[in-house]
Amino acid sequence: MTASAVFVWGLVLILGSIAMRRSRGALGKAFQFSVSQGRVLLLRMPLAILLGAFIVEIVPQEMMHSAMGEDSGLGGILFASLAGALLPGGPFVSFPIAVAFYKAGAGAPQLMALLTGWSIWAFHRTLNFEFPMMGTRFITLRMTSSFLFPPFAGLACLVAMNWIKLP
Amino acid sequence: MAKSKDPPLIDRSTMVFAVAALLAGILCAWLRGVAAVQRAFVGTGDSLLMILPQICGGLIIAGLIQVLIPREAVSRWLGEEAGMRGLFVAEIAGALTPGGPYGSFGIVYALAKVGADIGVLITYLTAWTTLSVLRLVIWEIPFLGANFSLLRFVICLPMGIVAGVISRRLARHWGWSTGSIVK
Repeated sequence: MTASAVFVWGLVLILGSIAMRRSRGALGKAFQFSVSQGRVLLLRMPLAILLGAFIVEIVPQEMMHSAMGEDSGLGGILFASLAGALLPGGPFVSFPIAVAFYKAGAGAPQLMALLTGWSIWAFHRTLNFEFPMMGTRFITLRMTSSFLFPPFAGLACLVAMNWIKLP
Repeated sequence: MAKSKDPPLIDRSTMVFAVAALLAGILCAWLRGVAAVQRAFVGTGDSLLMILPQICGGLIIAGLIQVLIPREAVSRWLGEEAGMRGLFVAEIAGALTPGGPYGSFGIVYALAKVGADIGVLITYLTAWTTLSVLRLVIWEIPFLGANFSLLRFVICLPMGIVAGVISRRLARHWGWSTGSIVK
């Protein structure tokens, strides 16, 4: 946690000094944008994390193990891809819920598929943004060129785990 | 600081989460007892404390990037590029674009309207959604750990380019020009 906090704040310093050098108003404008983005998260993020924490307590371990556990194999990877596609909203919702699934017994490859399903299939985003803005031809092209990615990511993780230790 | 065009503090989606959390809390208390509810609250507090510094920093970075790399610049880069080089530029631009779907779909829509290469647009969107560097640092590493997050990043690295190459070929095969895809 500390390493990534140091990285983030280091980046803030670097980008901030570049922005300051460029123009005087830049910092204020950037800050205004940050605040307007941040206020949306103010309530939603703690609620999402709390929801995730309740899910960990509610869902029986055995159920999570058989659906998305390490030993659930390809079936679990496919199930997780689909579960990810159904997750609504941005990372402030999906990551706490992914962590909740992890704690409740989901395997790393299944989690990998879940996050990629959330990225690529993303039913919520496709329906609300892509369909009205870009139309069906665009969605057809994007989906046919990438619909295999979520299960592929899960399988790649399964293979990689032979060399990399995941917690 | 809040301007009138800002979204309201409590919108529909926040209400949905509030109701979902409340129902889950009641279910949790009923099935697992009050101690479990307490554990959930303590865990939530810990998580919030752990990620708060990254999130505040990340929001500031998103704002700074917005100011330093204006949308018009990204549009210009992507709009003029084609070929394999275009896909690589799109991959990097997508990975570096912060923020939600309003920003990135706005860029893609505007570029599609002026007839940019479809492969470049699909690569950009796929890289934005799978790689997002800011999301990696703010959310993923703190929540899921560096090993898992970096492995996911590496696995997803080729996806943008692959999707771009395939969709470009499909569009050519089906005879779809960018103008006929996005109307």
